[in-house]
Amino acid sequence: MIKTAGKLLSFFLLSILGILLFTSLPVLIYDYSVLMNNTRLIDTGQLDNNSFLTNSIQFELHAYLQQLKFTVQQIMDLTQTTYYSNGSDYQLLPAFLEVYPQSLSFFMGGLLASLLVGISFAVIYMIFPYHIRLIIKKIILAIETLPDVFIIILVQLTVIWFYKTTGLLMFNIVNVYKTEAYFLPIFTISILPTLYVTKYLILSMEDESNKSYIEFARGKGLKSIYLIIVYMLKNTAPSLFGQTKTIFWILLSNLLILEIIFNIYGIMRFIAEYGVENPHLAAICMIAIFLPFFIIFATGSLLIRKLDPR
Amino acid sequence: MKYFKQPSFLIGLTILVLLLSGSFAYSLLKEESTPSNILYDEKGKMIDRAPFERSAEYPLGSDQFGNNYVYVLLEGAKYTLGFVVLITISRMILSILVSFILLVVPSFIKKLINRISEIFYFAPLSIFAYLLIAPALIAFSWSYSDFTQFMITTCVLVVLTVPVLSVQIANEISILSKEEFIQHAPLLGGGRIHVFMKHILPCLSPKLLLLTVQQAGQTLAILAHLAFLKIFVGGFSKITYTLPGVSGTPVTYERTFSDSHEWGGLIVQNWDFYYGAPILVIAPVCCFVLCSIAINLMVSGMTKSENHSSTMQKKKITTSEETLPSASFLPVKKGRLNA
Repeated sequence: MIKTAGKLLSFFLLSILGILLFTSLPVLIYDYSVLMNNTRLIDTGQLDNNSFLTNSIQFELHAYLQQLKFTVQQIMDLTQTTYYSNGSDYQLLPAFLEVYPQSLSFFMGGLLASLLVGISFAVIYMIFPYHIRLIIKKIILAIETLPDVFIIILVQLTVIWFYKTTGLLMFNIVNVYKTEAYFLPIFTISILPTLYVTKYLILSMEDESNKSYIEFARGKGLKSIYLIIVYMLKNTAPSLFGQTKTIFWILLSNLLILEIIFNIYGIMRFIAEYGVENPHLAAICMIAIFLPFFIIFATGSLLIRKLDPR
Repeated sequence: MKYFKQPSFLIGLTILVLLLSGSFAYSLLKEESTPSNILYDEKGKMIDRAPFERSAEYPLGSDQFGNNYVYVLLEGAKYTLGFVVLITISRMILSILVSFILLVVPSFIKKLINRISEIFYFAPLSIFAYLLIAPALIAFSWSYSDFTQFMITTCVLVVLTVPVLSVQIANEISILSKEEFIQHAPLLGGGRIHVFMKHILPCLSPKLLLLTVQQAGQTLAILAHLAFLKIFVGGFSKITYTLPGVSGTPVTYERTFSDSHEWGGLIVQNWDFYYGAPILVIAPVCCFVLCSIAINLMVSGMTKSENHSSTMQKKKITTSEETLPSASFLPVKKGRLNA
């Protein structure tokens, strides 16, 4: 137990350190103080012509360390944190609290949906006879390789096409003022993670079904559905937990494209819009994405350690 | 090459080679002409304004200038694919060099890099690339020349996956160097370079090739993402023009155009017209999809042929030695939890 906790702690600290080190990197290679100064002048209209401004790539270790210190200070005191945009500084918290809960609900909903649907798909898949399974497996593997951009555009076009032909708007496609769309975004971002979960489970369950204890149980006359749920799923599902990181990553990557294509103003677009001019903001957003993942991961691994001390 | 015996590898390779050679052939044979942005029928009657609808002559319609979109995409293919090839090859070379360094330094550094690079799981890889590229290309683009911008984009995309990749390659090499025949080679007088070139590299090369193709697929995906984040990889030019607005007051528009017709650039350039003429965005996306399918076909062909050869070897071993692993009745868990 203590060993697991120690591992989790080091994982937490190293990840935070990694995020801080990475998000301060732009300051290392770009001359931020001059560039930001010029940006302010241009945005406030004090500088009309920017064609004479030139700058080059540099390696400024001192500025990098300063930025690291600055980011840590900003994280320590979130209520005072400001970010620069378009000529003036804004308070971080109201804007951040507007985008964060929605995105959080999207990726938590997506994680839950993809795990539940993926597991049920895998169970249904195992019930089918062998030759049908081969076809289904090929289809799943084929769809899974499609880029997320394509899947999300496809979903949007389908909804629009459906609306055009039948006049029925199934869901809110984009966020219009105060009517938030929930079902469609969660559905869209969880397509690829679901397929990933299904693929992972069916591969490991098929592996499991060749083991001798399953063959023995089958020989004893146990029903195959009972075998699938009680033995195979129970013995493979915990290893799925090790894949949480990958599932989470696929979800996030889908979320980014979803926010752009469906015009949802979420945390990914928040990073993309302001994170470049404010490296500390990028760090805060990434830590905000990391924290829920870490909570899930830590509770999960402690729980598994407790249930199964092996 | 045993891979050529796999149909899926061959199909994938053919698609890519055809696209690339078609693109080069088109730009060689292309005759310079200024397209008109108004389409007339035989009697000289005006029937359409650019972007044109789809028709037999324009299978994918046209862009805003009246260029046939199929040719625009074909022209862009060589830039996108060429860029992918450039990045992938530099990534592999750099990673192999770094993996040599990793093999020499104490192993905790390898572990530390591995642990810290787990941050790449907490945001899409394209966001990490964007944070490093965007200062030069979007936020402070006025300060940097075209060449610097291109160099930054390339360097960032190359360096981004080097930590993960080099640790992976270093692990492969250290596993291989524990093999008996490689451990004994220095005893017979083989130097380090000799052992690497003659013994390790032949065993490593199929894995490196597979990694290269996988990296190409990943680069393609990042390029598509970066396009949606409004980054022009292949250079861009800004054009400002003024049009009379609704109430008669002139409105100034600023539009950015992709210089090279690179697919990602086409997506960014036409993003404002997504709802008006969706084909202008969807067609380049489909090109990305086609290439990524081709690359995945190659990967599956390569893994299939590797699996095939390894099962053949195993069969040979089992027939010669007849040692079957003793069956255990306990439900053994296969994948240990990496908690």
